[in-house]
Amino acid sequence: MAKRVIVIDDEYSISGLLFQHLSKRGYDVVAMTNGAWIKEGLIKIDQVDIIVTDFHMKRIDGEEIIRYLRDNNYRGKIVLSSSVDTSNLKDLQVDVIIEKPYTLDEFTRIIEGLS
Amino acid sequence: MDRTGLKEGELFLLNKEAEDRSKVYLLLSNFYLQRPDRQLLTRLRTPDFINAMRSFLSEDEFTEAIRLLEGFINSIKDIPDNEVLDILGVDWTRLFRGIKKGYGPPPPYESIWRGEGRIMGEWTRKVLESYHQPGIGMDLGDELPDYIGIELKFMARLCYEESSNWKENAISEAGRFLNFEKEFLDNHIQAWVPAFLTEALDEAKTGFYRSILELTQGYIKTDQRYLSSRL
Repeated sequence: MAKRVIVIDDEYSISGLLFQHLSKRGYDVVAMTNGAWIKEGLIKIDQVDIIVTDFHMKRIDGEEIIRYLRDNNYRGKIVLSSSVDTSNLKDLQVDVIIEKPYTLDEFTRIIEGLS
Repeated sequence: MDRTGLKEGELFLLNKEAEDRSKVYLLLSNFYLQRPDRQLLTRLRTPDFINAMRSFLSEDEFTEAIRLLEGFINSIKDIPDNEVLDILGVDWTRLFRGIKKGYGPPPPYESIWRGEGRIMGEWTRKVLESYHQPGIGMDLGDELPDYIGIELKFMARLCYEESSNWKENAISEAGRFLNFEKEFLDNHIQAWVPAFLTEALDEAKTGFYRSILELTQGYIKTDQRYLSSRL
Protein backbone atom coordinates (compact mmCIF):
# COMPACT_ATOMS: atom_id res chain seq x y z
CA MET A 1 0.00 0.00 0.00
CA ALA A 2 1.29 3.44 -0.92
CA LYS A 3 2.66 5.54 1.94
CA ARG A 4 0.51 8.55 2.72
CA VAL A 5 2.34 11.86 2.70
CA ILE A 6 1.02 15.35 3.40
CA VAL A 7 3.01 18.25 1.97
CA ILE A 8 2.39 21.76 3.29
CA ASP A 9 4.08 24.78 1.77
CA ASP A 10 2.39 28.10 1.14
CA GLU A 11 4.44 28.54 -2.02
CA TYR A 12 2.44 26.65 -4.59
CA SER A 13 5.48 26.25 -6.82
CA ILE A 14 7.04 24.13 -4.07
CA SER A 15 4.04 22.14 -2.80
CA GLY A 16 2.99 21.43 -6.40
CA LEU A 17 6.48 20.33 -7.37
CA LEU A 18 6.86 18.02 -4.36
CA PHE A 19 3.42 16.59 -5.09
CA GLN A 20 4.44 15.72 -8.68
CA HIS A 21 7.78 14.38 -7.57
CA LEU A 22 6.48 12.09 -4.82
CA SER A 23 3.41 10.97 -6.79
CA LYS A 24 5.63 9.77 -9.62
CA ARG A 25 7.48 7.67 -7.05
CA GLY A 26 4.30 5.93 -5.94
CA TYR A 27 3.49 7.90 -2.80
CA ASP A 28 -0.12 8.81 -2.00
CA VAL A 29 0.32 12.55 -1.55
CA VAL A 30 -2.00 15.35 -0.57
CA ALA A 31 -0.34 18.72 -1.12
CA MET A 32 -1.71 21.98 0.23
CA THR A 33 -0.70 25.58 0.66
CA ASN A 34 -2.81 26.17 3.75
CA GLY A 35 -1.65 24.27 6.83
CA ALA A 36 -4.52 25.62 8.89
CA TRP A 37 -6.67 22.81 7.48
CA ILE A 38 -4.66 20.36 9.55
CA LYS A 39 -5.68 22.22 12.69
CA GLU A 40 -9.28 22.29 11.47
CA GLY A 41 -9.20 18.50 11.59
CA LEU A 42 -9.57 18.05 7.85
CA ILE A 43 -6.90 15.34 7.74
CA LYS A 44 -7.13 12.11 9.71
CA ILE A 45 -3.59 12.36 11.00
CA ASP A 46 -3.51 8.84 12.40
CA GLN A 47 -3.62 7.56 8.80
CA VAL A 48 -0.70 9.67 7.57
CA ASP A 49 2.82 8.25 7.41
CA ILE A 50 4.85 11.40 6.74
CA ILE A 51 4.09 15.10 7.05
CA VAL A 52 6.39 17.56 5.32
CA THR A 53 5.88 21.15 6.37
CA ASP A 54 7.59 24.42 5.66
CA PHE A 55 8.57 26.54 8.65
CA HIS A 56 7.78 30.10 7.57
CA MET A 57 4.29 30.37 6.15
CA LYS A 58 1.81 33.21 5.99
CA ARG A 59 -1.37 31.83 7.51
CA ILE A 60 0.03 29.37 10.00
CA ASP A 61 3.66 28.50 10.56
CA GLY A 62 5.31 25.10 10.69
CA GLU A 63 5.94 25.30 14.40
CA GLU A 64 2.24 25.67 15.16
CA ILE A 65 1.39 22.75 12.89
CA ILE A 66 4.00 20.50 14.50
CA ARG A 67 2.91 21.40 18.03
CA TYR A 68 -0.68 20.60 17.03
CA LEU A 69 0.42 17.23 15.60
CA ARG A 70 2.37 16.31 18.71
CA ASP A 71 -0.41 17.48 21.03
CA ASN A 72 -2.79 15.24 19.11
CA ASN A 73 -0.58 12.17 19.35
CA TYR A 74 0.48 12.06 15.72
CA ARG A 75 2.81 9.07 15.52
CA GLY A 76 4.05 9.39 11.94
CA LYS A 77 7.21 11.10 10.76
CA ILE A 78 7.66 14.85 10.45
CA VAL A 79 9.99 16.64 8.06
CA LEU A 80 10.48 20.36 8.63
CA SER A 81 11.87 22.44 5.78
CA SER A 82 13.29 25.85 6.49
CA SER A 83 15.50 28.54 5.10
CA VAL A 84 16.35 29.90 8.56
CA ASP A 85 18.22 28.48 11.52
CA THR A 86 15.95 26.12 13.45
CA SER A 87 18.41 25.00 16.12
CA ASN A 88 16.22 26.62 18.78
CA LEU A 89 13.34 24.32 17.82
CA LYS A 90 14.84 21.07 19.07
CA ASP A 91 11.93 20.48 21.44
CA LEU A 92 9.62 20.13 18.45
CA GLN A 93 10.71 16.51 18.02
CA VAL A 94 10.78 16.50 14.24
CA ASP A 95 12.42 13.56 12.53
CA VAL A 96 14.35 15.54 9.95
CA ILE A 97 15.06 19.21 9.36
CA ILE A 98 15.91 19.96 5.75
CA GLU A 99 17.47 23.28 4.87
CA LYS A 100 16.13 25.25 1.94
CA PRO A 101 17.16 25.34 -0.81
CA TYR A 102 17.42 21.58 -1.28
CA THR A 103 17.51 19.43 -4.38
CA LEU A 104 14.82 16.92 -5.27
CA ASP A 105 17.41 14.16 -4.92
CA GLU A 106 18.15 15.22 -1.34
CA PHE A 107 14.44 15.38 -0.62
CA THR A 108 13.85 11.93 -2.11
CA ARG A 109 16.64 10.43 -0.01
CA ILE A 110 15.09 11.85 3.14
CA ILE A 111 11.59 10.61 2.36
CA GLU A 112 12.85 7.19 1.33
CA GLY A 113 14.92 7.02 4.50
CA LEU A 114 11.78 7.53 6.54
CA SER A 115 9.61 5.06 4.64
CA MET B 1 -17.24 -5.79 -19.05
CA ASP B 2 -14.82 -8.55 -19.96
CA ARG B 3 -11.57 -7.01 -21.05
CA THR B 4 -9.50 -10.14 -21.43
CA GLY B 5 -8.09 -10.65 -24.89
CA LEU B 6 -8.25 -7.00 -25.90
CA LYS B 7 -6.55 -6.35 -29.21
CA GLU B 8 -3.90 -3.69 -29.72
CA GLY B 9 -6.32 -1.46 -31.64
CA GLU B 10 -8.87 -1.66 -28.84
CA LEU B 11 -6.25 -0.82 -26.24
CA PHE B 12 -5.19 2.17 -28.32
CA LEU B 13 -8.78 3.35 -28.49
CA LEU B 14 -9.36 2.92 -24.75
CA ASN B 15 -6.15 4.79 -24.03
CA LYS B 16 -7.16 7.62 -26.37
CA GLU B 17 -10.63 7.88 -24.83
CA ALA B 18 -9.22 8.10 -21.30
CA GLU B 19 -6.61 10.62 -22.41
CA ASP B 20 -9.23 12.84 -24.07
CA ARG B 21 -11.53 12.62 -21.06
CA SER B 22 -8.65 13.60 -18.81
CA LYS B 23 -7.97 16.66 -20.98
CA VAL B 24 -11.59 17.76 -20.93
CA TYR B 25 -11.88 17.39 -17.15
CA LEU B 26 -8.64 19.30 -16.67
CA LEU B 27 -9.78 22.07 -18.98
CA LEU B 28 -13.12 22.38 -17.20
CA SER B 29 -11.49 22.32 -13.76
CA ASN B 30 -9.22 25.22 -14.69
CA PHE B 31 -12.18 27.45 -15.53
CA TYR B 32 -13.35 27.09 -11.92
CA LEU B 33 -9.94 27.17 -10.26
CA GLN B 34 -8.41 30.13 -12.04
CA ARG B 35 -9.62 33.66 -12.03
CA PRO B 36 -9.70 34.76 -15.70
CA ASP B 37 -6.35 36.24 -16.70
CA ARG B 38 -4.50 37.42 -19.79
CA GLN B 39 -3.35 33.93 -20.58
CA LEU B 40 -6.94 32.72 -20.80
CA LEU B 41 -7.92 35.70 -22.91
CA THR B 42 -5.06 35.11 -25.31
CA ARG B 43 -6.22 31.53 -25.73
CA LEU B 44 -9.82 32.60 -26.28
CA ARG B 45 -8.76 35.04 -28.97
CA THR B 46 -6.93 32.31 -30.90
CA PRO B 47 -9.12 30.53 -33.51
CA ASP B 48 -7.57 27.21 -32.45
CA PHE B 49 -9.36 27.46 -29.11
CA ILE B 50 -12.92 27.23 -30.37
CA ASN B 51 -11.89 24.62 -32.95
CA ALA B 52 -10.34 22.47 -30.22
CA MET B 53 -13.46 22.81 -28.08
CA ARG B 54 -15.60 21.77 -31.06
CA SER B 55 -13.48 18.73 -31.73
CA PHE B 56 -13.35 17.58 -28.09
CA LEU B 57 -17.02 18.27 -27.45
CA SER B 58 -18.61 17.30 -30.73
CA GLU B 59 -21.81 15.67 -29.43
CA ASP B 60 -25.14 17.40 -30.18
CA GLU B 61 -25.71 18.29 -26.55
CA PHE B 62 -22.76 20.67 -26.59
CA THR B 63 -23.90 22.60 -29.68
CA GLU B 64 -25.70 25.32 -27.74
CA ALA B 65 -22.84 25.80 -25.26
CA ILE B 66 -20.27 25.99 -28.05
CA ARG B 67 -22.49 28.49 -29.91
CA LEU B 68 -22.63 30.61 -26.75
CA LEU B 69 -18.88 30.44 -26.36
CA GLU B 70 -18.33 31.41 -29.97
CA GLY B 71 -20.80 34.27 -29.60
CA PHE B 72 -18.90 35.53 -26.56
CA ILE B 73 -15.54 35.32 -28.34
CA ASN B 74 -16.96 37.27 -31.29
CA SER B 75 -18.48 39.88 -28.99
CA ILE B 76 -15.14 40.73 -27.37
CA LYS B 77 -13.16 41.06 -30.59
CA ASP B 78 -12.89 44.84 -30.37
CA ILE B 79 -12.90 45.21 -26.61
CA PRO B 80 -9.57 45.80 -24.84
CA ASP B 81 -8.23 42.97 -22.63
CA ASN B 82 -8.59 44.96 -19.40
CA GLU B 83 -12.28 45.55 -19.92
CA VAL B 84 -12.98 41.91 -20.82
CA LEU B 85 -11.01 40.71 -17.81
CA ASP B 86 -12.98 43.02 -15.52
CA ILE B 87 -16.29 41.67 -16.80
CA LEU B 88 -15.17 38.04 -16.59
CA GLY B 89 -13.53 38.55 -13.20
CA VAL B 90 -16.73 39.94 -11.68
CA ASP B 91 -18.76 37.02 -13.04
CA TRP B 92 -16.20 34.43 -11.90
CA THR B 93 -16.13 35.87 -8.40
CA ARG B 94 -19.88 36.04 -8.06
CA LEU B 95 -20.44 32.54 -9.41
CA PHE B 96 -17.64 30.61 -7.74
CA ARG B 97 -16.32 32.43 -4.67
CA GLY B 98 -19.38 32.96 -2.49
CA ILE B 99 -18.60 36.52 -1.47
CA LYS B 100 -21.82 37.06 0.50
CA LYS B 101 -25.31 35.63 0.79
CA GLY B 102 -27.56 36.65 -2.08
CA TYR B 103 -24.64 37.66 -4.29
CA GLY B 104 -24.45 34.73 -6.65
CA PRO B 105 -25.22 31.09 -5.84
CA PRO B 106 -23.91 29.42 -2.66
CA PRO B 107 -20.22 28.68 -3.37
CA PRO B 108 -19.45 25.39 -5.12
CA TYR B 109 -18.26 23.20 -2.25
CA GLU B 110 -19.77 19.75 -1.78
CA SER B 111 -20.23 20.25 1.95
CA ILE B 112 -22.37 23.33 1.30
CA TRP B 113 -24.48 21.76 -1.42
CA ARG B 114 -25.08 18.50 0.39
CA GLY B 115 -26.88 20.09 3.27
CA GLU B 116 -24.15 20.97 5.74
CA GLY B 117 -24.48 24.65 4.92
CA ARG B 118 -20.82 25.36 5.67
CA ILE B 119 -17.40 24.75 4.23
CA MET B 120 -15.03 22.20 5.72
CA GLY B 121 -17.78 19.86 6.81
CA GLU B 122 -18.06 16.09 6.92
CA TRP B 123 -18.35 15.88 3.12
CA THR B 124 -15.06 17.71 2.78
CA ARG B 125 -13.41 14.96 4.80
CA LYS B 126 -15.21 12.24 2.85
CA VAL B 127 -14.03 13.70 -0.46
CA LEU B 128 -10.48 13.90 0.83
CA GLU B 129 -10.72 10.25 1.80
CA SER B 130 -11.85 9.44 -1.76
CA TYR B 131 -8.64 11.04 -3.04
CA HIS B 132 -6.68 8.52 -0.99
CA GLN B 133 -8.64 5.44 -2.03
CA PRO B 134 -6.97 4.87 -5.41
CA GLY B 135 -3.63 5.59 -3.70
CA ILE B 136 -2.79 8.58 -5.89
CA GLY B 137 -3.60 11.54 -3.63
CA MET B 138 -4.33 15.04 -4.85
CA ASP B 139 -2.71 18.43 -5.24
CA LEU B 140 -5.12 20.82 -3.55
CA GLY B 141 -3.10 23.99 -4.02
CA ASP B 142 -4.96 26.67 -2.10
CA GLU B 143 -8.37 25.04 -2.28
CA LEU B 144 -10.45 22.75 -0.13
CA PRO B 145 -10.83 19.16 -1.38
CA ASP B 146 -14.54 19.48 -2.16
CA TYR B 147 -14.36 22.58 -4.37
CA ILE B 148 -15.87 21.96 -7.81
CA GLY B 149 -12.58 22.68 -9.60
CA ILE B 150 -10.67 20.22 -7.41
CA GLU B 151 -13.25 17.45 -7.84
CA LEU B 152 -13.14 17.88 -11.63
CA LYS B 153 -9.34 17.90 -11.50
CA PHE B 154 -9.44 14.63 -9.57
CA MET B 155 -11.52 13.08 -12.36
CA ALA B 156 -8.83 14.31 -14.78
CA ARG B 157 -6.22 12.61 -12.64
CA LEU B 158 -8.12 9.32 -12.49
CA CYS B 159 -8.63 9.33 -16.28
CA TYR B 160 -4.93 10.09 -16.73
CA GLU B 161 -3.97 7.12 -14.56
CA GLU B 162 -6.43 4.94 -16.48
CA SER B 163 -4.92 6.04 -19.78
CA SER B 164 -1.35 5.38 -18.57
CA ASN B 165 -2.37 1.86 -17.59
CA TRP B 166 -3.98 1.10 -20.96
CA LYS B 167 -0.76 2.31 -22.55
CA GLU B 168 1.25 -0.13 -20.47
CA ASN B 169 -1.14 -3.00 -21.12
CA ALA B 170 -2.04 -3.08 -17.42
CA ILE B 171 -5.63 -3.98 -18.18
CA SER B 172 -6.92 -4.83 -14.72
CA GLU B 173 -5.30 -1.71 -13.23
CA ALA B 174 -6.92 0.44 -15.94
CA GLY B 175 -10.23 -1.20 -15.08
CA ARG B 176 -9.67 -0.40 -11.42
CA PHE B 177 -9.34 3.29 -12.30
CA LEU B 178 -12.47 3.14 -14.49
CA ASN B 179 -14.31 1.89 -11.41
CA PHE B 180 -12.91 4.70 -9.27
CA GLU B 181 -14.03 7.22 -11.90
CA LYS B 182 -17.58 5.89 -11.90
CA GLU B 183 -17.68 5.74 -8.13
CA PHE B 184 -16.41 9.30 -7.71
CA LEU B 185 -18.71 10.66 -10.40
CA ASP B 186 -21.76 8.89 -8.93
CA ASN B 187 -21.04 9.41 -5.23
CA HIS B 188 -19.70 12.94 -5.32
CA ILE B 189 -19.87 15.04 -8.50
CA GLN B 190 -23.26 13.80 -9.66
CA ALA B 191 -24.67 14.19 -6.16
CA TRP B 192 -24.35 17.98 -6.07
CA VAL B 193 -22.64 19.60 -9.07
CA PRO B 194 -25.73 19.51 -11.38
CA ALA B 195 -27.78 21.35 -8.72
CA PHE B 196 -25.07 23.99 -8.37
CA LEU B 197 -24.77 24.37 -12.16
CA THR B 198 -28.52 24.88 -12.56
CA GLU B 199 -28.53 27.67 -10.00
CA ALA B 200 -25.32 29.21 -11.33
CA LEU B 201 -26.77 29.23 -14.87
CA ASP B 202 -29.57 31.48 -13.61
CA GLU B 203 -27.00 33.88 -12.17
CA ALA B 204 -24.33 33.93 -14.88
CA LYS B 205 -24.07 37.29 -16.60
CA THR B 206 -21.55 36.50 -19.33
CA GLY B 207 -21.95 34.19 -22.31
CA PHE B 208 -18.54 32.80 -21.43
CA TYR B 209 -19.48 31.42 -18.01
CA ARG B 210 -22.96 30.38 -19.21
CA SER B 211 -21.18 28.31 -21.79
CA ILE B 212 -18.71 26.82 -19.30
CA LEU B 213 -21.54 25.90 -16.93
CA GLU B 214 -23.50 24.28 -19.75
CA LEU B 215 -20.46 22.42 -21.01
CA THR B 216 -19.81 21.07 -17.52
CA GLN B 217 -23.44 20.03 -17.14
CA GLY B 218 -23.40 18.29 -20.53
CA TYR B 219 -20.04 16.65 -19.97
CA ILE B 220 -20.97 15.13 -16.63
CA LYS B 221 -24.05 13.53 -18.23
CA THR B 222 -22.11 12.31 -21.26
CA ASP B 223 -19.34 10.89 -19.13
CA GLN B 224 -21.74 9.09 -16.85
CA ARG B 225 -23.26 7.41 -19.91
CA TYR B 226 -19.79 6.58 -21.18
CA LEU B 227 -18.73 5.01 -17.87
CA SER B 228 -21.93 2.99 -17.61
CA SER B 229 -21.31 1.60 -21.08
CA ARG B 230 -17.74 0.66 -20.18
CA LEU B 231 -18.44 -1.08 -16.90
